[in-house]
Amino acid sequence: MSLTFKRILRRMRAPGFAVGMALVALIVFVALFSRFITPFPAIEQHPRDSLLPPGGAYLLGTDEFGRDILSRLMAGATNSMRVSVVAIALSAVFGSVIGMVAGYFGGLLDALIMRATDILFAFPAILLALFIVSALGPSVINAIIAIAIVYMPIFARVARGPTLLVKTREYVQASEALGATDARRLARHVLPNIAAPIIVQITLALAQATLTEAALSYLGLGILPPEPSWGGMLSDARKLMEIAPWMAIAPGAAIMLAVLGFNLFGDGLRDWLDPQLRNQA
Amino acid sequence: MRQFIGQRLLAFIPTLLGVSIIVFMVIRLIPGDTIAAQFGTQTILTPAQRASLLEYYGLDKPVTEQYVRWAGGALHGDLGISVRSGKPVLGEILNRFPLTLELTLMAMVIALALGIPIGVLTAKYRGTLIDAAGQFFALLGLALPNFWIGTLFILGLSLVFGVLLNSGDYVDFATNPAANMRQMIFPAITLGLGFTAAIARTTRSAMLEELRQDYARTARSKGLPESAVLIKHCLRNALIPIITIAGIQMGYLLGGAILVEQVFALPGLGQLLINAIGQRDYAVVQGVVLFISLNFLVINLLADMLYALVNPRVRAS
Repeated sequence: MSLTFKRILRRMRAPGFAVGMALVALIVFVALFSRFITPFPAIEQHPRDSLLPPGGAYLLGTDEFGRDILSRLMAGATNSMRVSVVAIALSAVFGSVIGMVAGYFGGLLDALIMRATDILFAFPAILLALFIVSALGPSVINAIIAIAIVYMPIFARVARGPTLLVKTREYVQASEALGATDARRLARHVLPNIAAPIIVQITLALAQATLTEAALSYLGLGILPPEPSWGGMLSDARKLMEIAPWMAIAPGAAIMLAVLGFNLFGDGLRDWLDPQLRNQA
Repeated sequence: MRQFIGQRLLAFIPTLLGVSIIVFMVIRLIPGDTIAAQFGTQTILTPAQRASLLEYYGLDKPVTEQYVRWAGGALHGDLGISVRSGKPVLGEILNRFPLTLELTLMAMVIALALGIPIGVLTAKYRGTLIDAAGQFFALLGLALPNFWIGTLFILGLSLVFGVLLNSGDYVDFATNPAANMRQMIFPAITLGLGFTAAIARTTRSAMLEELRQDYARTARSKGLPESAVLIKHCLRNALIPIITIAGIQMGYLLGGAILVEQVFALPGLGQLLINAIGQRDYAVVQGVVLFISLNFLVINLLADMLYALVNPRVRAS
């Protein structure tokens, strides 16, 4: 444990990784505890304080209903992260299992699964997400389903490649000789050995999912008002931008920092977990 | 080469079929039936009216037959009729497509013009402040949502210069090139910025790869100026992966254009799609999604072929 901790500390010297980790930690903290730490309830209206610029009691100003932007930003982190994290958890689990099964059993099953992922890759991500949400109807659950489907094929591919390699290793064949079932071999011997690229992919996919969720909410097809979301707040800001520019700046900055954090963290993890890449670039 | 093209074309057909099945099936996910969804549940239809509408849209047939009818129509350019405008869907798409194409191509040109020099410079000055600045820009470009960049442009121009973007109606290029460019340049920069970052990253790593090669050392040791080594020798070879990335990303630009059009209120394919989603005009939604993904597929196919054309090793494998 302490060795792992020392390693993490050593990696912290890579500035990108440290910044990424700090940003991710901040966002996770705010997302988990926003309910207890927002200065005001996020949907509480203060009609007399509408459109106040940043400063005073409202650190980042207020919107047209006098709602505190900082509080909405913090509660927005909870809402936005809930969508991205649940969606990516679903796509990582289903996608990885599909990819492992395809790589492990090979043959026709593999060919069919890989064809199917090719087909899903034939849609630009945001277009497919929009399309699925438009059919299911706008809601948080449907945004989660859409984002989960869109990013599933990436995990299938990331899991399949190393599975092909690992399944030929002696320890997997030895466990076969000992009579382990396919399921046990996949779970106990293949999965732990292909986990690194999947973990890296999860952090990078979280960055993409955050952007996709923000885009859906911006278009009114994700988290619905009055619940705050970063994309929704940006959309609200559009009509009032000239008189209340602060409304447009804070939520965009939040999206940017979250995406930047996940990307830096993911890049750092990749360098750390994948020694082959360590000396490149 | 001919064999390679043949193989790629052959692989293209099942993908196309799969895409069309997904586009067809997703619309069938709509809770309830599409007639109720399109005409609203509050509209009271007599059973006879409902039946005739179902028959008119072919919804009384089995799903497989509906698909064959729809796909067959699509192959002949018949994507159905918009329930809101009463016009053929394909016509509406083709009306809007030039704007989206112009936006995408302009974004592509901007991204290549900025991204390649940034990539070459950061590779040449690897490990210096220039490299760090370039890398930082690339990270930022990938993290900035384009609908926010667009918002900031509109905000900045109006606050600092008092210029209102897109306050008037859209003017197409043929009617008034200057006015059109004024309207399109900021949306194109907005769309191109994330792409610039991707191109800069690819160029940098491709250039680093090439600069390590023996031929680069040979070129240097025979006394060629550094600029010639960089541009004439290394960049030429590095262009191969750059072209591929550019081709693949072109499709993502089409996706990104949906949002950028929304921010700048440009009447392109994206706006058509978003409006159709809002109005539950499913024939249009289906048509636009099919059209964009078809473009995406064709662009990827062309990028693949271009890649094979410039890199004989790909053809052989």
